[in-house]
Amino acid sequence: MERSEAENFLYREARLLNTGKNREWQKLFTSDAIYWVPANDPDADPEEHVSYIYDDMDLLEERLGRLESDYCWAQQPPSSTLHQISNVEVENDTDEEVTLRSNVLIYEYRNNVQRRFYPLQTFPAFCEHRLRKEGDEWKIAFKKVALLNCDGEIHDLTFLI
Amino acid sequence: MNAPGGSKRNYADLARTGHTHVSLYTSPEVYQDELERIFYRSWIYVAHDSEIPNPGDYKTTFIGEIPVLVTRDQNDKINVMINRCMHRGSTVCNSESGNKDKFVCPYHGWEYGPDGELITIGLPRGYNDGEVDQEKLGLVHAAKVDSYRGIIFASLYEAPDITLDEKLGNIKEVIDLYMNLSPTGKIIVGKSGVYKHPYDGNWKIQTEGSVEGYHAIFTHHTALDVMARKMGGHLKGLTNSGLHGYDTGHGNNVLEIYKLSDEEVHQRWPKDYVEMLREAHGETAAMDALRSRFNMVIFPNFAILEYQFRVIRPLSATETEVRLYHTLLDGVPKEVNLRRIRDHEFFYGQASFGGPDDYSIFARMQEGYKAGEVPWVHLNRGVESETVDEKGNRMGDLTQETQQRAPYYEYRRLMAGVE
Repeated sequence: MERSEAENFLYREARLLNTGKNREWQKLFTSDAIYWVPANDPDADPEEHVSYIYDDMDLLEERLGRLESDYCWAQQPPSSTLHQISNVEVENDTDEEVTLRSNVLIYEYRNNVQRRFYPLQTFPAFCEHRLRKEGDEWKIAFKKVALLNCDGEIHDLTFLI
Repeated sequence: MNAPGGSKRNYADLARTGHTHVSLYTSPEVYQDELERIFYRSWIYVAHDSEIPNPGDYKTTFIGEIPVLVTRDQNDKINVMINRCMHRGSTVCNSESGNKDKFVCPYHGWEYGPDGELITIGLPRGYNDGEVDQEKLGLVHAAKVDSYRGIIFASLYEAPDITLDEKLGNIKEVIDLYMNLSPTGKIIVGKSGVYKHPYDGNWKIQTEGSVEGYHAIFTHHTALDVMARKMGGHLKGLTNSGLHGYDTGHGNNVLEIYKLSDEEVHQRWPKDYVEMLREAHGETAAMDALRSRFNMVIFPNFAILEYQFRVIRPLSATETEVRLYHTLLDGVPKEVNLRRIRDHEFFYGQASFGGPDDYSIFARMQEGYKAGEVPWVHLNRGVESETVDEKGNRMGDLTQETQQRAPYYEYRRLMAGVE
């Protein structure tokens, strides 16, 4: 995969996240995919260490359902995000599978908070995408987002990362 | 045991049974009184044995706002000491945990052993005779340190007027139930992850919120919806009767979340795990541990929930940090701990389906408390129907507020000298 193709893929994913098209974003994943945001240590084994997010596609479906419900109090008002992608590298390139490494700077903001000047939050992170070819399309079989402050004090990560 | 100075507020009147005054959640002066009278002079959770298993191991933490160092020294003794060089006051350690044979102050090279003893000072010949007494300049130890089932508590400036055994009282048997989830009776705290969660609210909101039986079906609608579909029947207890909240004394309290039947225990846990506990603890003790889920608060800064040790650190009258230390059970099949990891991250943590809703509401409560002339916060649900069980615990229904009222008896005792 050429780097330009990898960039196009990641830019499109970011655009779906940043324009609230969560269900189209969900379709980027394979049915056996894992969506992982580690806690404390980005290299910890997720079977021996808790994560912020360790979703199979069943749990991701529930996560999206929660975000769409009227009862997700932590998302009232909802977050808007801007995912800024850079440092894209292509690894382990075969016809069927490819690993993409990138940096992402996620800006998160909430409009219309009655009571506070909600700070514009920034979450820099190292990303790893493992893509797999399904038919003519590349799909995400594994997405890992290692936040730079994954061991830090964090208020809230209830938006899509 | 009252601290010198402080405000002249009538805390017996501000912390009534069933009503707490809004100033307890907002006033910087009240907060200072709480630090001096509660956090620095009564039993405060600092660590679990499993965090410092070997000689030389240490962790840093806080008692109130004061940085402390918890060490296991070469004699296997646990030390809780103020993390402050005796010379000019710099902390002598600024990492969260590790293993050291000495703690070196970065400013002038004063070196302390894991037992707090001052071993050497930098450029000693600059001192004349009598100017520095090395034997008296070790790190300052907490006045009292004691532990139960590996759970280490300390009282910083003065020995409390009650022993740890008296402080824990009836809640010890609930701690025992938790430890009995391991065949060896041991747990490993924090190695499998810590969520570090600040919120914009007074620390007592989390103390009360750790045993909130009333809010679940309103606040946690989305989580309960998933749990009911994915995890099955044991959640019916959240809305049915027969579950209780308890005030076990000295501010400590317990909220039952569910109690499984024998059949439900077998549905929930793998056979080899159940057998393992039966062999280790006997039939009754094993099944009691497996069937019971509860949240418990050990006032003021500590709670144990199904998968976690929860530690509350006050930052100011209106800011708090909560750490959720995941617990692993020693000696169990890997799949049991793996499930405890997945279940924990489902409900707790900043991206989970439960906890973030609570913390967003805590900030909204604190916002409402700015109306200082709306004086009372209501915690009086079920106060009239409260009973006392055969063990002497105050007892109410799950969704009533017996367990959240419990801290305020001890609060009055420590803050005002009256119950």
